[in-house]
Amino acid sequence: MILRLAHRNLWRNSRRTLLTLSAMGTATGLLIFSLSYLNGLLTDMIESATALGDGHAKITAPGYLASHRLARTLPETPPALTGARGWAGRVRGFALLSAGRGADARTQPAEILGIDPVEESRVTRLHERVIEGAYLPQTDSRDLVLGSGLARRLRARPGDEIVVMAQAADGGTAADLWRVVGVVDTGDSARDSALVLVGRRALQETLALNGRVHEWAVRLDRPRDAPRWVAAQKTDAQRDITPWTVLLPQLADVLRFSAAARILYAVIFYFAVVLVAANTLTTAVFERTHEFGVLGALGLGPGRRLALVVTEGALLGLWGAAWGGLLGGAAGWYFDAHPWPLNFARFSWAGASLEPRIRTVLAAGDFVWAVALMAVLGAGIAALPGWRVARLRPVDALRAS
Amino acid sequence: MAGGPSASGGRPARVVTLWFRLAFRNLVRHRRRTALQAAAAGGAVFLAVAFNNIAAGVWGDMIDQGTRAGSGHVAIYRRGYRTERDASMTFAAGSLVEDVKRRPGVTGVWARAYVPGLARSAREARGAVAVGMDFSSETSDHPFFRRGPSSGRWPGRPGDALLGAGLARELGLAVGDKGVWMAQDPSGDIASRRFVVSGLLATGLREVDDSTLFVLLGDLADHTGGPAHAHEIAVRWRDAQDIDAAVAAVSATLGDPALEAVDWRRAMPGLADLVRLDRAGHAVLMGSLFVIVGLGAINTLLMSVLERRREFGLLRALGARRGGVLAMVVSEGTFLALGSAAAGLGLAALAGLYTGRRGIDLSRWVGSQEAGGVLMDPVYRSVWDGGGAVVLAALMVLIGGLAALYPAARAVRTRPAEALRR
Repeated sequence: MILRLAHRNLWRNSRRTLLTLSAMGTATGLLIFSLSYLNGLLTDMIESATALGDGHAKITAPGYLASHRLARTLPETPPALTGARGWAGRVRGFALLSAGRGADARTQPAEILGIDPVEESRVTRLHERVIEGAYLPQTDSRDLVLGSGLARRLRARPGDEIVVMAQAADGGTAADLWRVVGVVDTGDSARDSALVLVGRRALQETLALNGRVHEWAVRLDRPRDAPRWVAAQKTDAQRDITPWTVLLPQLADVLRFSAAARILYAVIFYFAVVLVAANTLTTAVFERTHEFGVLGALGLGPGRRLALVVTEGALLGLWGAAWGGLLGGAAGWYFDAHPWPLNFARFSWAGASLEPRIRTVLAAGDFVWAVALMAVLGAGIAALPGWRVARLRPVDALRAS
Repeated sequence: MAGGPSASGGRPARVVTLWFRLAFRNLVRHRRRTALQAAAAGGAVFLAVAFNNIAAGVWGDMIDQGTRAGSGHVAIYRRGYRTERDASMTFAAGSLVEDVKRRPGVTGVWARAYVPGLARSAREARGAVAVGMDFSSETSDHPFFRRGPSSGRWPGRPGDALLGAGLARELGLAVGDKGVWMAQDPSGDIASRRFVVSGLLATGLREVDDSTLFVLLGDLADHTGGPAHAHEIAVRWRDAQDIDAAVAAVSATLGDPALEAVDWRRAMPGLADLVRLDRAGHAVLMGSLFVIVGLGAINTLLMSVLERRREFGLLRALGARRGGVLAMVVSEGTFLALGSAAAGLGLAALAGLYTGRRGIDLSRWVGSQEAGGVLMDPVYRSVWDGGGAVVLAALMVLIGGLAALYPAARAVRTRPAEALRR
């Protein structure tokens, strides 16, 4: 009966109810969309730092991450890992690359990453980012793929020859001729200005590291599982396992701080709507003093009168939440499926590269949280006018009206 | 002319005053409702202005840090260098630096060279950028150098190098150790030069700490083509808001058409677009807040109008014209918004006194953050953005007035006989 009465009371003044609902729905929808946008931003950042960089975790020789010494290596035998989607052995070296001759010569420093193209494709998406030429054909050829910025600075294109001068693990200097087969663009301009991909076997020969790798990059199903996955791995004095949250502490800070940003969004969007709804419900209750007097005289006790007003608030909250959920959910779904490019340059934040676009990732938790909060707020807002109605003496109410 | 019975007497000012007084009295009559709506509108203005001030402080800090460490407010380059970053694109900076210094409005001028190469120790080699600069003038103003070297001293003698702490760790070098710098010279050959580590620098920016060594500008002469040759002249200007004047003044000193003077937004597009995108996101957030408050204002005024049908009927029966009733209702919305905006501005100014001096300290949750190539302080300090505050407050008043239009239209449609009969 309370539910039916509450429902009827709300639609007795449909214009007022619709206006209040529109404010509640808009706030809920905007909150869901904002949280989805924040998720999209964080997902892009983590993707750029892991799927186009270091993977979700790294296995290295002890001390290698603190100082990338050439001699700190691991065996090339793949590690026994449980719960990982893929892993790729890599060799890292630092070199000077020279293209052209005489006054047209261009020399640039670079970090050379020796990879197995098949293994690497299970960990990163570098192979999807080839913008010119081809990806590495095999692991033992003297072919290389340049980052787009580096290719521009060297004025090198697929087919050109490059002299690579690097320090080998045995202390000697290796200078070899390599051929450019492709150009990749990871989206991170700093990384693209110094990135060279070569076959692992070929780089091992150049650096005198036969049968050794510097790291195993690991891909998991979900990047946010990395710390837990690392904690679950067997400890071993011969190797360090490090999640991306440790490799990229600034990015981990951003992720942690995003929880506070979610609360801030909720405060901004729900602050005004709480006051608007409180206003509506308070006014609605005062308008109906006579009605509550009659209900009281007919035997509707204080508890039920309170329940009636709170139910009206809860219904408003629920409908507003449903409306907003629909709006925010639709917008979140649309921009997830169709990211909207923006006319901005790419920029870096916390060690990650940001795509200039509006991309959302609709998370069920955020959706439920925003909708439930609005529904609860609706009931909560109605508690104060409900309390006044509960304390109303029927005789006084009838006399006053 | 809109007015009541007395309007025909030709005293418009008095009529307008009458409607204003009525509007004001209507707001006072319903104190609770007025207070709730004012809290919503005033709170929105407070939130919007306070956030805008904090955002303006953060943006200002980022731009200030970026322009001090990077291009200055205006930078001089050889045309094409900004996109190509070709180390051979140097120019003679000596006399040009002196010419620019003499320009009124210029507060600092620094010539820098950026040479990519390979830093080597006996055991390791790393790709790095050697930054050639004048330490005597840069150390007081450059954000990387304010705290001084983390160990050792600034480069002072030829051959001295200040190494990023991460680069020194990778190379296994400490203060006093020797290393070799290898990079291309103007003829296309590789030139090597020994350096002595005079000090180490820890800025918190990975790109700087792990791959930069700072040397005297003259030490890169073998690579740049001369002891005073540079890739960039960074110019600080007195008024950061008047960048166009700065570009014009600096451009006027360039005698060589191969050189260009560009403002920091073109020299550091990553930083400029980060600020631009953040501004756009901020505007969307505040716009959304105002939309919600606007819907609330329509609701409140509509309730007020529907409750007072009899009153409007009586006014109309007494001869009040539609325009007068419309003006009264719109005035109610506008007065409410005006009062709310003033209260919100006052609160935001009070909050700004705290956030401007003490700041909002986020260091418990986040460390220093790199963004757009600059290091952001985890303590966010606000600045009073007067223009932004006025725009936001005016927007709220406009929303208040516009939100009153629909309820006002309902009020003027009231038919006196029908309303009095109810």
